[in-house]
Amino acid sequence: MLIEHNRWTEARGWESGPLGRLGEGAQLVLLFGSRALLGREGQVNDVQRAFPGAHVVGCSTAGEIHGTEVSDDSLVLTAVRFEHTRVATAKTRIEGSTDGYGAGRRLGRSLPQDGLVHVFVLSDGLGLNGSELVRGLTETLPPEVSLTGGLSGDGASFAQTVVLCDGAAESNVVAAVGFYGARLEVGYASQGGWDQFGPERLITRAQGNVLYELDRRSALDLYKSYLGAHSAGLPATGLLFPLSLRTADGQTGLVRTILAVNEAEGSMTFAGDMPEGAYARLMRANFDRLIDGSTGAARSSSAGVRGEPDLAVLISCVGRKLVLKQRIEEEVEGVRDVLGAGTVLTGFYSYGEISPFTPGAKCSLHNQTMTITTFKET
Amino acid sequence: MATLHSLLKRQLKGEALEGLSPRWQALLEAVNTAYWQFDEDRTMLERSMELSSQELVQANAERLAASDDRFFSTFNQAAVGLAHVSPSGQLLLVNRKLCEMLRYTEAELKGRRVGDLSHEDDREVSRDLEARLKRGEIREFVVQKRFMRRDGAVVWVNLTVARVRGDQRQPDYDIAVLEDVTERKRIEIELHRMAKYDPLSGLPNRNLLKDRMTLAISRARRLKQPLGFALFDLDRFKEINDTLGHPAGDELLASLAARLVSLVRDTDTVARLGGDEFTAIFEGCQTPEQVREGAMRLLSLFDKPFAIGGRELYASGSIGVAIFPADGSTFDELLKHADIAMYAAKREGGAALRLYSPELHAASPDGFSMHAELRRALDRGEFELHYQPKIAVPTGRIVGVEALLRWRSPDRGLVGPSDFIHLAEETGLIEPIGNWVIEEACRALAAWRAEGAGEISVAVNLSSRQFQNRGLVDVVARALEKSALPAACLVLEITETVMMERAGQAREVLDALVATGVRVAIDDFGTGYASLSYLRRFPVHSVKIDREFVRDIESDAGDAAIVRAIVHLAHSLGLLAVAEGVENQAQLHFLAELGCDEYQGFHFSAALPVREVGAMLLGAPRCPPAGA
Repeated sequence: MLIEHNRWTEARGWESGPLGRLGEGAQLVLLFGSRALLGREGQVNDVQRAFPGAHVVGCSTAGEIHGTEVSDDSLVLTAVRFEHTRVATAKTRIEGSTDGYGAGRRLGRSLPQDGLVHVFVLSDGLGLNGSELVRGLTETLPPEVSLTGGLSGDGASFAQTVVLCDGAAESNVVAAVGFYGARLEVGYASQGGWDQFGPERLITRAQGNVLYELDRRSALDLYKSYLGAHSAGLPATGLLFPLSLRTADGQTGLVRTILAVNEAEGSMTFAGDMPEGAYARLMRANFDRLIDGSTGAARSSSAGVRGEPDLAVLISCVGRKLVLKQRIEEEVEGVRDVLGAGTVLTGFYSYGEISPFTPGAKCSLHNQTMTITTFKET
Repeated sequence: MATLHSLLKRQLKGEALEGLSPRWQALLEAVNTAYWQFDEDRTMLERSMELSSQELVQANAERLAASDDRFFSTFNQAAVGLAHVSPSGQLLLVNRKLCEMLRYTEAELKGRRVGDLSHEDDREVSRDLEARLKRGEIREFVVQKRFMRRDGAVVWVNLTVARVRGDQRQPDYDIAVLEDVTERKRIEIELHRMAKYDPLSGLPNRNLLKDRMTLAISRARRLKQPLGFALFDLDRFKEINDTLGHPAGDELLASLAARLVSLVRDTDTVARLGGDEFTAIFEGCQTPEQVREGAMRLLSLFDKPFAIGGRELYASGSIGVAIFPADGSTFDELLKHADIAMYAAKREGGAALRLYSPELHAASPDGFSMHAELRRALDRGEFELHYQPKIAVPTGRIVGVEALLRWRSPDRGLVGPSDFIHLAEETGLIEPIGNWVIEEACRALAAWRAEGAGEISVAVNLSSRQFQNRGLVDVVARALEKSALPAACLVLEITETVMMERAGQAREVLDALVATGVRVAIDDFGTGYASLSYLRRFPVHSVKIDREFVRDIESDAGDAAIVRAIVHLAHSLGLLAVAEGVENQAQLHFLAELGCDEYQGFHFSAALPVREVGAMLLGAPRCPPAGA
């Protein structure tokens, strides 16, 4: 596996020199950047021209990961040429906020399934219920095919996200990359590191991923009382207090983070399902445990491949970035320490992460986690 | 650069910040931002911790209040009395039911000691159990004891006490469950009394006498002492009853009982055996002569007149005495021999005492030993009922049976009622025997009906003595209830003589009987008073034409005229006419012509043992109707 890794900023341009060293041999280009930069048509066209044989897939973010550095307002490019692996892409347009499940099914069916090993999905981060997307995908993909990915971001503004897949970056799009070939090993894991606190609260009124009431009281009011002066920063500041879910059927550990608030109807929209009858507890950050979570995810994901991975795609939640602030790079450095110097680290800060917690577990949508997918060809 | 954080400002105090390189400027800015951010994070963390601890405190308080609510509503809804009691016995908490049970308010009960509410005699009842509970040897105990209500009344309580172990904040306490069993206890005591005591005299009854006698015999055997057993009854008690009435007779018996109790020593047992028969046991005598002397004192019972119904009445009694061990070593033997001795006294004119001797047994006329045998026959189940079918004249169908008493004596074989009923009436045994007849007849009919015998009735003959007893109504009601037989299936046959003897009382008893739904027939009609007016006054259902008139009905024009008149009279009053003693087809034919409704007699069937009549009823053979 050959990898070309580069970052573009307004001040420095492409930091590692001109693009296209892999040239036509590149099969896949992952492109993560701010919404503004991805919106520049010329910029994306330049990339496409530099790698004429590659599928260019990417999304807007709340921060880009390049090696052990985390930056904003940049473009991080990762071009890959596999020795034994083929890739294919698919994309679908989201028809309204309730189309998550349908979009998942359409995508899952449009990827050829022969030899399919892994699917990496990038979705619009605001326009759909991520849990439903994962359900639709999981139902249509063969059970042995693993699935990871994330929801695109928009800094801390939660206004608009875009996804690109062999064309211009657009909103309300979901893209998927299929990896084919027996010699590709893929590892993955997702870990949080948040602490629960306070009373357990019953979700008494919710619809899909829209939450109205906890214990028959307004959920939005509860958040405002906890945020105090920071309420003005909603929805971003809501990420400081994610919710941990315990569903009626006993499933625990799912973390939900807020994507939007609707003052008029007193509701909050979360990245995934908020089922009525489930119990929710507020969570808060613990710096050390967040960083432990990242290294934990790195350890679990590297167990899925033999030896040092060639490539690791890190998708970490914007909520972690809002909390860790200047210390955000510590979690990426932690990943580097575990995976080793030979692994190319790329990725972005997201509005939602898609992966099983550990290999073999059921894939689901997460929030507030570090989710890592490692690739290695043998 | 943003406002300098106060801490950073202090740290940089006196330092020249102008002219720093851009790299140092940027570093300083990052440090300043980090200071502010840590402050912010800390403030938010503190705020969230405070809020969540407030929430938890409130949630705990709400949960506790809800739990208290649930506890108190359950506590107060309970149908039993409940209390929490401190280890020193003070009431900490009482529920509504307990307040109602003891007639106190909650405020009055709280803080009071349980011991103060206990009945004086029951305070120690649970002391030992309480100590064991306290030591942890038992987890709970149950006792029955009495508590005192506020108004002084006694409440019987089934008390369950369980210890609840406390912790650092709450000391140990007991949960007491108090169930009011006063009514149950009252019935229990009453039943116990009824099983052992005679309600009229208040003296021990036959059951208790037997127990005491058995104990006395074993005591006498151990001490090698003689034991006296006296049986006595009133002379001519039947006459007293007949002339002064049943209530007066009862009054006399009660007075005699009271006199008897005051006459004997506390250690001697006296009892009422039934009817006008009483007994006394004489213990602690050294010689048979001393027994005799003790028994002789019984004669003084009759020295003074009895005040009955506002007049003075002299009575006398006959006393028979049997002595253990010479005259018997069991209760039954001693009773039988005292009975023989008593009849010997009676035969000699009464008002006398006789000691039993074997010669007396040999010389006793049949009636005297028969009395003792009859008494045992009932205990041993020697009586049985035979049944004679009753046929509808127009259809020839069996419409009922008449129950007739037989005594299957081990010594005498099958004895008909004419040989023993008179004696039973005279001695009062007729009452228990008659009661048995009613119960057994109902039981048998209910069994036949259950097997498909159809809508038939059973008739039972009532004696004069039974009819005088108001308890008869209860006996009938109980027999019907026990057998689940419809009341209309039971026919009680009474002779017109009985009915006329005490018209007022008869009316009362008849009304009460008819109210239960049973039917009444006049037996042997036409042989007694021949005063027909009472037929209109009494709630009678049918009249039975005596066999005397039926026997020669074809040849004797007088008899035929009487039967015709009776049938006519019965029909005009809306009663059925039933002919007895029909022995042939000609008689039946004649009766049919006269319009007689039903008949009994050998022509159809004699009285049969229960199994045979059962087969007949269930096999349902038909006799051709009289006109065929």
